[in-house]
Amino acid sequence: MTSNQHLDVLLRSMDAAEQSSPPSRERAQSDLMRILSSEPIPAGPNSKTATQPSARTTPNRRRRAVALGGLAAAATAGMLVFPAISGGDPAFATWTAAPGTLIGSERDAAVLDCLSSKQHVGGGMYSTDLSAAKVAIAERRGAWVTVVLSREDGFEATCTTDATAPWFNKGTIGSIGKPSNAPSLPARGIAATQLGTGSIGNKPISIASGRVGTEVTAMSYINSAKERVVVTVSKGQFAFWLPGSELQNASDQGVPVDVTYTDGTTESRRLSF
Amino acid sequence: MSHPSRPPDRADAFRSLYESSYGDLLRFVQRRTEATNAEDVVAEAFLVVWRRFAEAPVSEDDARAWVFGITRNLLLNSRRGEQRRQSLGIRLADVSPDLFSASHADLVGSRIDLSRAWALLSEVHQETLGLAVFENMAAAQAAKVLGISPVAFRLRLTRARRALRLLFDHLPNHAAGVLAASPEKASTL
Repeated sequence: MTSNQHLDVLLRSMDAAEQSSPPSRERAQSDLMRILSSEPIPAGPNSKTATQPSARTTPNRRRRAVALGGLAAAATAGMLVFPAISGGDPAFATWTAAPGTLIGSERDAAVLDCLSSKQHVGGGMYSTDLSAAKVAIAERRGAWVTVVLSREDGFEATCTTDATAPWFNKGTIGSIGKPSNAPSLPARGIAATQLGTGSIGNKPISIASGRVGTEVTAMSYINSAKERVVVTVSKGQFAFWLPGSELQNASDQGVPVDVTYTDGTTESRRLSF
Repeated sequence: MSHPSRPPDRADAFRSLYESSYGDLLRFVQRRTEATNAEDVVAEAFLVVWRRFAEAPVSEDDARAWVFGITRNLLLNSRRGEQRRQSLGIRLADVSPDLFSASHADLVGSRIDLSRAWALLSEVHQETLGLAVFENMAAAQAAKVLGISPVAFRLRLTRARRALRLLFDHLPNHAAGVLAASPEKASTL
């Protein structure tokens, strides 16, 4: 009996599309222009189109305006900050104060999304850094995932993304760059490279990330609701974010955090650039 | 230094889908209709996609299946003037006897046998196998294209594979120079 695998290979060698003309870029582009010049129509129950009768009707996903608020990165460090577009959880309803660790395919997808979103920044000026960067942090807070990529020379790329947003509307808020004069941190040092508040539509988001010394094992932040926000600390990097604008002035004034060291002691510190 | 980038609008999102799936969709159509008007069909399908873009599924794989499903229905609708059909048969590449040579005789012979077996498959079986083999779709996405459940698709695929194997293994061998006596097409389910 012939195997399915053998038949599949044989079938693929008889693909009629391989005997047909390859796509014409000129034709494809002219069709695209013509299609875009026509107005899309809102989906309705009486729309006469070729969709299947049983096709699921999904809610209209309206794009929301994005404004870059006070989110700042180390201004002297040549870091670029990006606003986000989003879709799945725009109100941060799924946000959690304690992060989860991304593993497996979820982690791979988040890292790939982050790399893709940064690959063409500045005309690809960071592509070499990105290809050599390692994953320092991959965390989840509800629907939102944060990835921090870093190199030993101080290069960092951070991405916070709504993993449930539609694929064609998946944006990233974060930063990329390498501090021009990043001092080597003392063993108990903490230094932000991203600290402040941005906004997604009408929803503000506060973000902090950066570097920690070798003796820093954990950090936390008490938010305005007196809730302890657990900071992810891993491989010399830290990151956390929270809904709201309470880090709006943090880039100037710093923000208090509790820092735990390898010897088990904890002390209050001020996080700043 | 801040660098606020412009959020992609609806047209940008559609352009992304168009450019990422144009080649795949053209091949999808070329396998199911005459190649001469394949680009016209693709253009018509994307026009429908653009008009219904608010309904585009969230995941990229599902969006691709949604686009293929729209295109399939366009093709079915264009053929219903002659005869009501529920499935799209799939063409295989022509296997020319001119290709016979000593070194490739076995391969060409196998292709001729498969071509004959394929021609005897029902369109339902052809379409099911086509989505799995040529479009390389997982059951969940292939089922969306056909508007059936993933379980139903897997069942169809099992039956289609069995039917093709039986036809391929039991038709008279091409080397005997005897064509099958036009047996009825295999059952559709």
